[in-house]
Amino acid sequence: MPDKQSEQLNKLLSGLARGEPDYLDGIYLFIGKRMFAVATSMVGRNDAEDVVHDSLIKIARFAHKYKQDDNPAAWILKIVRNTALDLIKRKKAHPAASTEEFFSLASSDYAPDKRDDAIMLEQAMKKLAPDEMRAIYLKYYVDMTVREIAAEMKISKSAADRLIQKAEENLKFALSAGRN
Amino acid sequence: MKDKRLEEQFKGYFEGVEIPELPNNIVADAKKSVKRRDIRLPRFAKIASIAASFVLVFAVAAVLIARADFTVVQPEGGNQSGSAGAPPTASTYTADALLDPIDKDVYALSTDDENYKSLKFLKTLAYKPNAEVTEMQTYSFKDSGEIAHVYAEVTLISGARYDATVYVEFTEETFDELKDYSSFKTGTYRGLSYRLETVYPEDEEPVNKLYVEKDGVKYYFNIQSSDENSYIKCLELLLQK
Repeated sequence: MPDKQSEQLNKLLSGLARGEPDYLDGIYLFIGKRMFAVATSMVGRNDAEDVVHDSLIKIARFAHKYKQDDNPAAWILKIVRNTALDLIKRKKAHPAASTEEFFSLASSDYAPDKRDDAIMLEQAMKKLAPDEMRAIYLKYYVDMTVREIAAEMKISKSAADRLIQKAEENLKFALSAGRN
Repeated sequence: MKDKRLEEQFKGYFEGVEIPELPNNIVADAKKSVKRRDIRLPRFAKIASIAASFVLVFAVAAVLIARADFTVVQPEGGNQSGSAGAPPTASTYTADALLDPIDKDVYALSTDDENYKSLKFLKTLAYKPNAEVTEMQTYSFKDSGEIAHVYAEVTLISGARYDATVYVEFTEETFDELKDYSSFKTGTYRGLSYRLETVYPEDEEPVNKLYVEKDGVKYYFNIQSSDENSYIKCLELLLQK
């Protein structure tokens, strides 16, 4: 059953597919920060804005190809990811150097209680092994499926499944240790 | 399948991610790529769709009638005017002493109850694709249970970003926190009188504090935006039929 955010994003994408440009404002409002986070994690802060800009153009162009049953956030973030990869290829640059950079975004804009949570998450992530950190990044940051994660990490689906489970357990443990 | 707890944790994390100030062109450029599509339904589908709409309308009406409470409640003192909120004795009221937050569906209230039609603009906002109502709370008087005011927090993106807190007040008396609004400078927009004051917090965008009284209901807005005329957005919302 789709959650509230997926329902809203589905509605916005379907409005955009009908040719209503204002629905793009809503999409940016709902998922702009996450788009920016994924882009930053892949190309760094300087190029992230260009990636988000180009991704929004692609979303506007291809919204009619989106199937309503899909996960809308995953569809949008896949576009961001592919756009970032295109830029990396074009510039012949390397992707963001370390996974740790993906989790250094906690900003002063957070409400104090949320800032504590964000910092705790960043610290907990840094306690994971590099492959666990990457698996969590691909699953929760980029919204990839287990199959996609397996392909991305060049491991079997069952190995990816085991890795994700272990990473989730370790992350939850690190989070509760951080709270106590 | 994502772990619920971790998913929530990441959701909160992404909400606070620092992004650059909403660049004017970032969404505007992309909008130029949107092509209006003429979605033509086959004839039978059109007929089926119209028929389905009728069925839906009848079903909703039947549910509403079945759930309606037709008992007549006599107001204290025999006043049957049905006005929204009997005035309390003090000229201002405070949250701690007199108010209770109550669980009330504001959107349903705005359509089902004549006395609260003034709340309809909040429903309009909630349905806008480029707006989000992030909080909504109704407060009633502890003693009478009558609605004192509705508080809402809204974000709208339309050219610029607008973050607003809104109070809609149904009493003659004024909520203590809002008593200063009646002293702001007056103005008129498309025949609607308002009072306005702009404050400039340090290192932040200006806040337009707007007060409007319309059809016996009082509206208070605090709108923070880079758009100096952000209050016009609110006035236009109130002017919408």
